[in-house]
Amino acid sequence: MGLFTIVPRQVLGGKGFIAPSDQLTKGIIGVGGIGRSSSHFSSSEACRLVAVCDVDANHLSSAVDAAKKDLKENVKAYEDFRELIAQSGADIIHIATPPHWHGIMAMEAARAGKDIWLEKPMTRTIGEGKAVAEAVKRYGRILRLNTWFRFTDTFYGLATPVKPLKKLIMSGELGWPLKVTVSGATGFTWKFFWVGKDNLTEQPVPKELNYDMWLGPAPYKPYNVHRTHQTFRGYWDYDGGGLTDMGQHYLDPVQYMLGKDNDFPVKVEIDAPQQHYDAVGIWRKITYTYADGCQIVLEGEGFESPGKVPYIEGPKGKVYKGFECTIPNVQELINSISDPEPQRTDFLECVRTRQKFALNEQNGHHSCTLVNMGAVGLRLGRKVLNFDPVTQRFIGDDAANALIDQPMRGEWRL
Amino acid sequence: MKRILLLFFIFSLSHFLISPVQAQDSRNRVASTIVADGLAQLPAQNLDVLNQVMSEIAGTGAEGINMLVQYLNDSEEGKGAAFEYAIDGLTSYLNAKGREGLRAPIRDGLKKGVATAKTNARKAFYVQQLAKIATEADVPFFESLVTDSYLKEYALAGLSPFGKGKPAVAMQLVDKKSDEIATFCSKVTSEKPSKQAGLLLKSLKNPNRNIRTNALALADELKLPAFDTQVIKVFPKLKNDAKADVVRWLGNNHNNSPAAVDLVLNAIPSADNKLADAGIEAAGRIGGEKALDALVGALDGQHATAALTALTAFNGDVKSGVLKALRAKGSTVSANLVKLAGERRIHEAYQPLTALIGNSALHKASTTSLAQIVTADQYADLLQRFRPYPDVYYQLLAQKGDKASIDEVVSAAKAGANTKDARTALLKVANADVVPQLFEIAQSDASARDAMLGRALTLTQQSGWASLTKYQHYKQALEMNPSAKTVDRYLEALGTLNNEPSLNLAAKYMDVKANDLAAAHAVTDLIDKNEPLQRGKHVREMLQKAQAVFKSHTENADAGYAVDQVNTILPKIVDDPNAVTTKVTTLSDEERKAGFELLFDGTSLDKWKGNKTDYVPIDGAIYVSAHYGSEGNLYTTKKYSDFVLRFEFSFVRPGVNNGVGIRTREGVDAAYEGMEIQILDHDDPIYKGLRDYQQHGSVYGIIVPEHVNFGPLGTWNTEEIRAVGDHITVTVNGKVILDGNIREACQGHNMAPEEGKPNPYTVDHQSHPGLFNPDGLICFCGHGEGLKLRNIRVLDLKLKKPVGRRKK
Repeated sequence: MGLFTIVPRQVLGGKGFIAPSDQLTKGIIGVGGIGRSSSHFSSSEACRLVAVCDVDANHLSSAVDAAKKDLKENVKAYEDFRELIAQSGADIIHIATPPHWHGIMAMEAARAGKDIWLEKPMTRTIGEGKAVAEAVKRYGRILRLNTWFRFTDTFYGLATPVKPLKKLIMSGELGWPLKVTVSGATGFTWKFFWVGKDNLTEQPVPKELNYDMWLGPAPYKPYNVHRTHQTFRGYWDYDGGGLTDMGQHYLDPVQYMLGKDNDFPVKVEIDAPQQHYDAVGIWRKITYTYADGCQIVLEGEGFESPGKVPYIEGPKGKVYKGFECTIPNVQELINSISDPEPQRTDFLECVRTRQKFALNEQNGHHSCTLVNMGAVGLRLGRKVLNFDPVTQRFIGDDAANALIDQPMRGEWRL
Repeated sequence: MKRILLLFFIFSLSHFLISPVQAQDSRNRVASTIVADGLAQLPAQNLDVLNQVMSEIAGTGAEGINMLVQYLNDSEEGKGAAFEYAIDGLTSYLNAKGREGLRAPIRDGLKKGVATAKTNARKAFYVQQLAKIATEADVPFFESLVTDSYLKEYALAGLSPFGKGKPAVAMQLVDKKSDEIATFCSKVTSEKPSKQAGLLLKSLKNPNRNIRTNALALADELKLPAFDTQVIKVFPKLKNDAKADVVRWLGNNHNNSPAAVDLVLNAIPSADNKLADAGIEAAGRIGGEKALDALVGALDGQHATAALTALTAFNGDVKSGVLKALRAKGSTVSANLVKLAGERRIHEAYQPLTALIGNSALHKASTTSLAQIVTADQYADLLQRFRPYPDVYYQLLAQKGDKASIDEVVSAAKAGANTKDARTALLKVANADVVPQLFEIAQSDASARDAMLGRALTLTQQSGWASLTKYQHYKQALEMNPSAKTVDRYLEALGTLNNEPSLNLAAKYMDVKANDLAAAHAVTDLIDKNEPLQRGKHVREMLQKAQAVFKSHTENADAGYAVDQVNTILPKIVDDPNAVTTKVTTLSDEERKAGFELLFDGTSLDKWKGNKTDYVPIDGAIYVSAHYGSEGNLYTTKKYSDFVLRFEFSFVRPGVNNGVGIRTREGVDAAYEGMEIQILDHDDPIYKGLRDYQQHGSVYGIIVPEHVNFGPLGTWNTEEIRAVGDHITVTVNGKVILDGNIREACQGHNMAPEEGKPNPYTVDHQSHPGLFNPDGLICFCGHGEGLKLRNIRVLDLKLKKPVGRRKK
């Protein structure tokens, strides 16, 4: 191997040169799952991967090796995310852990003056979301919440990106209020069936795993492999099944379309079987109602309404799967409407220019609150919860409010 | 399963009776029956049932909960879920508004559960359940558990709504919020402002570090006047740990008052490591000339790493300090200082650093730093200086990137003493012109293959080359059979192209276990993003296959999205209007009687050999995606001399070039070693200068045909080629366009009279050595993609009797 010699591009000129001062660095916390997906586990001239962190020694060493082999990067490795944040020199902290860590890590990163790439769901509780949004604002950080359907990619089942739908809604031609039904019948067909096991027995903790650090703020429960890697999604202590782990993908673009980025629903209604206190079960239907009467209906996999259900239903028109619309010449209509405000979707550019990313701590907290409201209702077996959008608290239900800010174990605090 | 288990419990409930006399409900059921009926319905299938069951169990008061606790305690680990549903359902039912009055007996029952449970996990469960419905009265109970190491956290969680374990004061301020800190913070904030500073100063002597750091943070929050002066005054009396806290605090506040700077710098030479490190860190944050000199001085010492870190992030310019030290120390300078000169891009250090090249201790550091600070006009000089060090020299050349430099790297990479260093450097050349060289090395050296192909891919992707060119590179790379990982990368790249060959190539890898997922992604992306590819049954089948691959990869989170993505694309696939309705074609009665043989029936290439990767049966036709080269041809397995060949063809891209080779053999150019009956979309503008002997239907270079006018792209045409001795007849769409004698056409001179000179007898003035071959293979000669062939049949005129009538 040759010695480490990198001549700064400006010396030699040429295309695509990035001044060293423009080069960003990132560190990834959590390299067992999504943190290793090719779009995240990457390094480029614009943003170099410099550090990784995991509490599973196998994940960590595998990531270090992969960085060396595939990315030609000698990354620093940490078991404790606090050290990665404090010592690695990364500009951007990419949080790809299970959700029970998101709040704490995002706060720590914000306090350390880092910018943040946060995987969905934004946080595991409404209180943590609120705190992260405030901290990001207070410390002047840039946060990207990572779900993308509000600005890119064909929208599930609708055969279109979100923009024309947004324009159609903005035109008023569908009337108001609108009801959006998100379910298998409208193309949302998978992963609402992400459940835990209700009769776990204790197993020995594998030697590569720092289980105490994996749990972090979550209550201590005897180890069972199903609680951790990948399947953690089925346990309330860490996540909330398909609803919280996948729900934000589906709900966030709806919130955007309906123009509810600064609003919360006033009511959530639950139709589900009883849930286990520890393991997440299945659910049938969760209905959110906003003050103006707009509704979002989330139907669990296998529980879709029979027949052809419109995706968007308004007093004057309906839109079905595949962008089938009851309004004649809908395409011409859409073409005649001006585009919505462009969205800023280049995260690195946002970091360099200190501008808010399209999906940030504010609107991200709002759409994440949708899933977390549903989780609170499910866990308590409430058919209806009323919510005050101003105080961000449930009305007349102390037990539900107790789940807004949940106690944390040991030394862990936001 | 669950149902069977429950029935067992109901049956055996009488063994667990708690109380000899049980209360009865309105339906005259005793508590044990109510609990048993309830358990039989859990987990409740809807929330109305849940509420009904729980209201009944709650109505039994202590009896129901006591039974449930005992059942759970008696159940084995991993078998108590039924009772967990019941107890959790009960507390959820009771913690809703208006049900406060029913909670007391349940709370007592849960406390008993904590006392009687056999395992910590179960005890914790009860504590958690109690917390859901606890009142102020339960505070002492939770407090009694705080000493239990397992239950402590659960108890603290139970206490938190009552203001215990979760301080109300200074929530944002303190990092670690124990009771002690909360109490301390509230004590200070409730004090009169005049006394606050005194309290905080005193607390700096507290042995608990959290108290000390919180005191300093609280002082900032309260904006106490001149607090730093007071701290500096008491500083000498503090223990070293506390001193380190104060030093860090001054640094974090960028406190550059002379007293603070002195205090911080005096900490650096401390024998106490923590204090010294704190001083170094703080000095870097405060900045200034004195701090700079102190930190540069520390680069030699035992805290060198900390000093380097502090200097790299130094608050201010470090140039003067670095240059001063470099000049003063010369070759005895520390490696850290050399590193720093590079890190902070101090270009003025170029000359002093070049003096360190080859210095055993400093060569490495100076190399790295020189590369960081060299300017364009110094580059030639730098290259010269590193000429004796090939590991660096070739890297520098590679980065220079001009043709001469790259040529030098390439030639060294291929052979010589420095191949290893040159190859490492070659991988850094940022110029797509080196791709052929990378391929060449990859082909010849399997150990370098992945690295070379990986780089070739990156460069190809970044290049502005046409999609088809990129495809050809990718195909060439894949044919070298690199590692599965490299194949995956190439497949991913194929997925970003936009042409049908890319799709066909990627689709093949869906059958390769190690690469099926990447292939399925590529196939899906290609079809999704390219409307022209969204046609035909074969495309639909590819998608379905891709979806099956995604479904088989349950371990991969992205695959889940892809399953859904495929569902959104499938409805877009339209049927190809030119596709034959039945895949299998058969001979007409007339042809069968005449003795024709079907060479391609729509599905099978059994009667063919050669390039079956670029001639693929799809939807009843052979789709040709071959690129130029004789090894890319498709040949009959049998030889023919006199024959009638009939087939249909269709151009699906403009400018298609192919041909029917006859009386030829494998691995040669049929136009000269045999004959080629041209297939060409000859009216495409790219063939503006075409000679008439090159038109569709010509005996290439020998006999000129009549011009054929083809319909729009996608139209099917019929063709018959009849070859009897020297007599060739070509009929297209029912019209004879060529009917001639090859020997007459060149007056018997297939070869030039003088070797190496033009042949005046052929229309193309070339020699055609194989023109008079008596027999040979029939082939399709691919020169590019976009041709479809179907219904290919042949009559061998040399067989005495038609096939059907031969005796067996």
